Amino acid sequence: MNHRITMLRNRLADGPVRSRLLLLLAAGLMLLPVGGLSLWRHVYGFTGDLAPATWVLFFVWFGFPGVFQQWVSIELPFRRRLLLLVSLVLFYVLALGSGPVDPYAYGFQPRLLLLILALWVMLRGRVLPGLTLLLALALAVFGIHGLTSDNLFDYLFDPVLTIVLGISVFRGVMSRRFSSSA
Amino acid sequence: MLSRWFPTVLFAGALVLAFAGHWPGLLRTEQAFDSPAADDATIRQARQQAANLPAHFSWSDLPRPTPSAHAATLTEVLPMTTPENDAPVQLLAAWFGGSREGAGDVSLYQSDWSTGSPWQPAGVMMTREAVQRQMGRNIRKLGNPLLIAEPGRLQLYFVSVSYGGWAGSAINRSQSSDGGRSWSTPQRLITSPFFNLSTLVRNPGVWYTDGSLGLPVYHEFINKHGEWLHLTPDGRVVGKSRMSMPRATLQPAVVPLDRDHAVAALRDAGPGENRIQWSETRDAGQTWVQKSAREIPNPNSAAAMIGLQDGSLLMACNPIAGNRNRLSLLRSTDRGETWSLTRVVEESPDDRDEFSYPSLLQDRHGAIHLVYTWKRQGIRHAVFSQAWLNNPGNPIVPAVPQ
Repeated sequence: MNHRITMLRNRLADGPVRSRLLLLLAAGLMLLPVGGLSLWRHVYGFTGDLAPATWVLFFVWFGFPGVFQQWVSIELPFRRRLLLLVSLVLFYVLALGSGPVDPYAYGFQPRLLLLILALWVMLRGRVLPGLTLLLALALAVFGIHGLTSDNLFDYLFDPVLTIVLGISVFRGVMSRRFSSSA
Repeated sequence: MLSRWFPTVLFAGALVLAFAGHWPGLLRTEQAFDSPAADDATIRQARQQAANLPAHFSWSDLPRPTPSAHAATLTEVLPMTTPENDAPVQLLAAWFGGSREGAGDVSLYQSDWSTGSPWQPAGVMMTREAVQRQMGRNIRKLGNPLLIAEPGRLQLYFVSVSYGGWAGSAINRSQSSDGGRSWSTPQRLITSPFFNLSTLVRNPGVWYTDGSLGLPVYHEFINKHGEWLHLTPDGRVVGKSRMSMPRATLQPAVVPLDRDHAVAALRDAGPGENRIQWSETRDAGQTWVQKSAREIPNPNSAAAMIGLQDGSLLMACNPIAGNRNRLSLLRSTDRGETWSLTRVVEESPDDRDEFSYPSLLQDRHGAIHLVYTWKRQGIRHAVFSQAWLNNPGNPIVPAVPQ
């Protein structure tokens, strides 16, 4: 019995396990009513629909942390994540009005965007199967009008995914700094 | 071998699904405004009717159910079938009212009017609580409404804020098929990639030949500029373009001049000397090009603009520096290139008074209707004819003390 309790205590002390438990607790709290709406509805009222990729990555990270870590290290190494983050930040800055061009507009009736994605998959699809699957999922949900939006960009990524990506890049930068100073 | 190709094959299938799901919109390239040709028989008749109306001006106040009222919108209710020529014109107005702008008790109100009758008692159109309950989202405050009519159906677009100030606004759409007696559950338009923040609406849209709608809107977060949304008949946003300006601009008022050409007058929210800003499209709203500002002072206040049945453009605005205590009508006979001050509708020597946020409409009999915010206390309605506009003189509406 004591052995089991010690094992459980050790598991709880484990960072990834602890963070997942906290997340489960937070998910429970989301059902609490606040001001006539559940806390989840307040969050949804702010975030709106999330991209399919956000949900898939969250559940893979939550349910299969080992698989997730391995996939990230292969398909999204630090430099690629950094490049992706810079592109997304630039996209949001332009879409919010800094400059004459609105890249978000190209997500409506997105012939050009679909062509670019198809070309990318033709070139890189076989070596980056995970990202290709995420793109396929986004396009499939777009095809069935699965979200409120009719803009393809809303199916590919969202601000929550961008923020998480930003945190990941920040942690990567910090770990590189510490490892280089050590 | 198969597993290496599996994601690519899945992607190809998803690509086909994406095309199939958005067919034929993905192939649509050309749009045209539903702007009737000048020699159209209906237009000729309407033009003649408008020209025959004697010089006339009258005004009345809309009901005041709340201490504060602002941002009125006006539309002519159109029955499913073409009405008899002598049938009375029926108008529907909507505005937001409450204890003050931005307060939690602000609701949307409506009232209707028909030729020969006074404005009917105001009814509540949407409350903040009802919108929150129906949409299942936190709603902090309600803002500008916009009414758009088509035969047998009314559309209501309105601004709501879930968190933060007006820069955090989103647009919602509701519709009525019983002349405004009941409204459907509002649906949110998705117009921005960043938490759908900061798109607001104020002025009426323009119909396309395929029944879709072009809607002038504006953006306030980080930068202020006009935008053009393309909506399907069922209210989905399928296109967007930006009215870029070097200055901060808001609330575009758009008038189509022909099937491809439209002009937009924008409120100048920039620093220094403010004037009505101007933009044009020559491809039915796909791209907008900045033009030189018009020589009309604009104290960062809303302007309304319509095309009259005689082919001229009519603008209602506050063409004075700094304040909103004079509301005037200006007219252009050269497609908006030059403007002349036609009439002052209302003015006050007190700089704190406000006659603002005009909304214009020419009904099917040719009478011109103007509703505007009166000192933030109520909404005032003025009716006049083209002949009144053509006459010299500035009969000013007397400012009635409360």
